[in-house]
Amino acid sequence: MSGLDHERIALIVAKSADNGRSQEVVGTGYFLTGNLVLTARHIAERPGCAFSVRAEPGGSEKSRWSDAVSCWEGVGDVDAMLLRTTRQFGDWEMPILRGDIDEGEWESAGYARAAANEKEESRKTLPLRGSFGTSLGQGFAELALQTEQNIAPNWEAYWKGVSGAPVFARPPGAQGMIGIITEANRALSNCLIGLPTSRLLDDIRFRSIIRPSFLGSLPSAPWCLVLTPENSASDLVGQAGDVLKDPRLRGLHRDPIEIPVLEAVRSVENWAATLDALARADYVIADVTAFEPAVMMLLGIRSVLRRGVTVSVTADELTAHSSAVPFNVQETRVLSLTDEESFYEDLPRALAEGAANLARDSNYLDLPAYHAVRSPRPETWAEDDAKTMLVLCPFSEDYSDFYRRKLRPIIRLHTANGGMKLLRMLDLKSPRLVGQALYEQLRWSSWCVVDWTGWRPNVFFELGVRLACSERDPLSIIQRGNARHSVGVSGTPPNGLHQSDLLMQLFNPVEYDRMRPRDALKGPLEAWPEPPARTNGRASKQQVLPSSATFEVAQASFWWERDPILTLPHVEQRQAAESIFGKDPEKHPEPLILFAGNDQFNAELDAAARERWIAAWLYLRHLCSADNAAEGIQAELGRVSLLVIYALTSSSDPRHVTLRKEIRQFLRSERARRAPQESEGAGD
Amino acid sequence: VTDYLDEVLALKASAKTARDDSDWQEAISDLQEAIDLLRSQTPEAPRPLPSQLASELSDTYGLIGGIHKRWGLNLDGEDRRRHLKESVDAYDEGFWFEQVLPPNDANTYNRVNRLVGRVLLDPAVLDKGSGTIADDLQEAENILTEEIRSVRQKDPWAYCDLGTVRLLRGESNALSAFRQLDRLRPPTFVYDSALTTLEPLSEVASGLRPELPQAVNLLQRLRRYSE
Repeated sequence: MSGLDHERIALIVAKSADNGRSQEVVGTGYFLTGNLVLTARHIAERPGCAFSVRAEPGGSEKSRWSDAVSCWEGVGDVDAMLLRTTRQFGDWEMPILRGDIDEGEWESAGYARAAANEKEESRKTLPLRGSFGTSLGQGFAELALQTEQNIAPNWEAYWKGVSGAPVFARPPGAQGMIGIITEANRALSNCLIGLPTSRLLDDIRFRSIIRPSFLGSLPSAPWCLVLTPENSASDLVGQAGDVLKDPRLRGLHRDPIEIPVLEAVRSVENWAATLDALARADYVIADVTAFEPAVMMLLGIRSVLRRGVTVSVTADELTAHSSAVPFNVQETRVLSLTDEESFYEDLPRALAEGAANLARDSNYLDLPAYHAVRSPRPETWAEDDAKTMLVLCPFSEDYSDFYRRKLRPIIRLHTANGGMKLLRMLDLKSPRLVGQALYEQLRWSSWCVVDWTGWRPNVFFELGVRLACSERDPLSIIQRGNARHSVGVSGTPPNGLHQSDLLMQLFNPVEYDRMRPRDALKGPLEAWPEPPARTNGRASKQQVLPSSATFEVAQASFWWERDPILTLPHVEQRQAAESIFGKDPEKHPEPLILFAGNDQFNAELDAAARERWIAAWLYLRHLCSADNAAEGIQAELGRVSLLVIYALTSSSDPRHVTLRKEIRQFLRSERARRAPQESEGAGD
Repeated sequence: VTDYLDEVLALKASAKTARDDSDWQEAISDLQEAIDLLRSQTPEAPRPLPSQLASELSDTYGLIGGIHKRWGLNLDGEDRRRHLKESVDAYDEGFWFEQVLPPNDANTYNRVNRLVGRVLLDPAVLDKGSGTIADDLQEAENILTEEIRSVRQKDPWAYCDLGTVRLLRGESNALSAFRQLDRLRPPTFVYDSALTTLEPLSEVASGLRPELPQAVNLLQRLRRYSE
């Protein structure tokens, strides 16, 4: 249904408490589905609002109300919000959201104060209609909505409550939802202002929420994602399913979740769902046969998003594979599918070992980039950034010649700062390892051009890294005639890959003529950092990823709870102490630290481990001094107390002796404090 | 998993502190609590037992065995015998779990000390032929030789165990195991622990195994140098 459905108009009440006084704001919403309501964000302008939503269908008045929570809010001036109701109302399909209609007739209905019976405290919808146009000029476009209904002069407050009401285009023009009402025009009593749907569709998270994921709901138990390429004759998903039954992988969700790479790049929504899955998957098995560009790009994104277990597999013999492997994944371990027997031995082992290493080693990586993109901003960034541009491109002789003679001068001439220095990977001057320096630049460079020409796997891996770790999208370009990928290690697909078309559609790179690159590149380069026009004839606006979309999804989806920077001080100190002599040094006295056989070093290690234990104990003690200290923290303090006493046993340092006494005293007083509670509990 | 293992780790630390203070009863009490905690996990655990669980059970029983042994050696008569017997029982229990440990958790502490305990109870067992502990000592030496060649090449306890087994078998190359141990520069507590094993053995069995006092002297010297 593409027209306004009055049954779906929702009354929104946002309640908040301000200095003990209850505040209530009323607005309008529209049920996009049976439990998803679109409304204006400013209804919840106070923090900590509780939402109630009234739906039109239903029996008694009470049965028409539901609690709701915000599941998406627009960023910046996007005055919109999605609420999810706890109850399901109706079996409604998503209306058609139109971001491409600039003028025509419109209609709506909202709970404006003008239609309220204030004596009886009841609200009614006020049907609205009129003509609309698009307000351009400075800032983003707005809908200018002329109404046939007039609010009397000086009574503009009587529009209140209409915020969030849907705006639908109506015949004789095209139909569909074109926006929501966000405010009343103060100068013109019959004029309202609306947020165009196109602004909502520019937000990838909004689009991810309103469309169900092509992956369905992901498992809550640890699980394994299998990324399959476009050209594959193997049964990797079946094999992975067999492997997941291995006892070493106990506790894992039994069935692997497959993401066929073509599906991942088929639409903006699928791209977002794939990124979310890459961030959430505990294990990823990626088939890198022939280094298909979309697979490489997704691996680049995974390497930024998650320090999880990622294993690459190939249908090629490893010798053939190794000869063509891109430099930036050369150090990753690849398993070959050609020998099924050893594959069934190697894969579960790789997964189990990876998980074990990941758990105990904070530096564990099986893909590059994770740590490098988290390195601090270079000291010289402020000085260098405005003058330099990172270029990701092929390094073939033919291309390099073209780059030097034609492309580089054009890019330099037409970018905003004019005369920028262009840096390819080989030109980076950082003293860091080449790969590290590249990833650091990918994160921090404001200016980055990616030439897709040749569909090189390393370029696509790096593009994935860049998209995931920088809110500033790179400018993607490609030589005309290169729009179809046709490079492979073995068994080159005769007709190229369909994913090339889908990637072109999704990322909309600027196509240029090798003979006359300036014609196509001048405009986008001069407008940069504004993204190039959304459509290039290949795709509609909605098929192209919004600006910064990959970064937005990465930021929302990555597993921040496990980011080491959030490690609590006592955990950090304890881990550091245990990294020196292990968790149980008496059981395993083998030295863990390199060169620990150096006596002086060993003595200092001994001292360092003790001090770390002391620091852990003191911080825990501090946490437990709070009245509301969690039970778990108190238990941890009890355990650490015993471990610290033991760690200090062999020290005769008076400071340590005193602390041991103090901790013993603490444990005694804790036992005394608990004893009455426990005996009371026993008597209950 | 982490929670109960962490609790066990803390209880073991507490027991070791008590042990070092010769508070045997307190140490045994902590370790029994750890055993109860570990045992409470076993009915739910898959078979074979996860190596972490089996390893902790084996280690904790071993600690109980070690504490009863030290306790008993401080006593005389029936009390001494009773604690030494309890020590052997605990080592036997620990040995049951120790045998199934995977290579990266390989250990022979209980395997060797259950034999040491039997010698302390009755040194004459060393003189008996096959079918007695002689076979067990032979097997222990074979296992240790293989493990030292592979997964336990840097594990100080493996060299202590090998030296002890060779001493009990009356082999001439026993002392070389302790010299190899010294090359690993182990912590002082390793020498202390080895001496705690060998000194009482030397007292009761030097007549049968004359290298025992030499080994004690060597270890005492090495320990002094390590400080």
